[in-house]
Amino acid sequence: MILHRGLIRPITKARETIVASMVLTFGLAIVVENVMLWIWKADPRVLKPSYSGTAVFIGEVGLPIAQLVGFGLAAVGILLLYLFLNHTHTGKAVQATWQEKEGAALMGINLQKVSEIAFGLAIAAAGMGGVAMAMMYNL
Amino acid sequence: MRVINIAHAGFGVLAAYIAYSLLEKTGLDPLLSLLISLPSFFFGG
Repeated sequence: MILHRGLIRPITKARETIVASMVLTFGLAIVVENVMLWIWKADPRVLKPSYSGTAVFIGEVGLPIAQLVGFGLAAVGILLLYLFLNHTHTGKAVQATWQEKEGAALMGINLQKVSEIAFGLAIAAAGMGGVAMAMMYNL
Repeated sequence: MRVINIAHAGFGVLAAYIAYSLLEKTGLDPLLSLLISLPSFFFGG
């Protein structure tokens, strides 16, 4: 919500919002990546929770628990997003806004607030996906 | 809306590094670290 208010909202008034947002978030990605490089350096790392290195066996097939947890996390994330978008008032407002912006505004939906929530949710979902990926691959 | 976010992958890796740091420094499970990182990402994003 803070990033959206500070960076994204000002460019929504631009003539080419899509191109402006791509350039802006490309720059943001470079900043985020370099801050990570500065803090954690470029050495490869492995996320090793207590259950890494253990596996569940179904017959002769071994399923690493860390990868199962990563898969489960991704599945839960998708389910939560689905439930939010289809079974909450705010989720339906998000859907209405992307389907028909003017119509949604006429129905009293606060478009700025909905955009902020959607952007915040997208960043949080990316974070959840990143942790799920870290369970399966090196950092 | 009509905003394309190319920085998604960067934020994904950032959450993974936060989970890694919390695991190394405090022994917190990566799943539990999401309880800290997800609200921060939602309000910061």
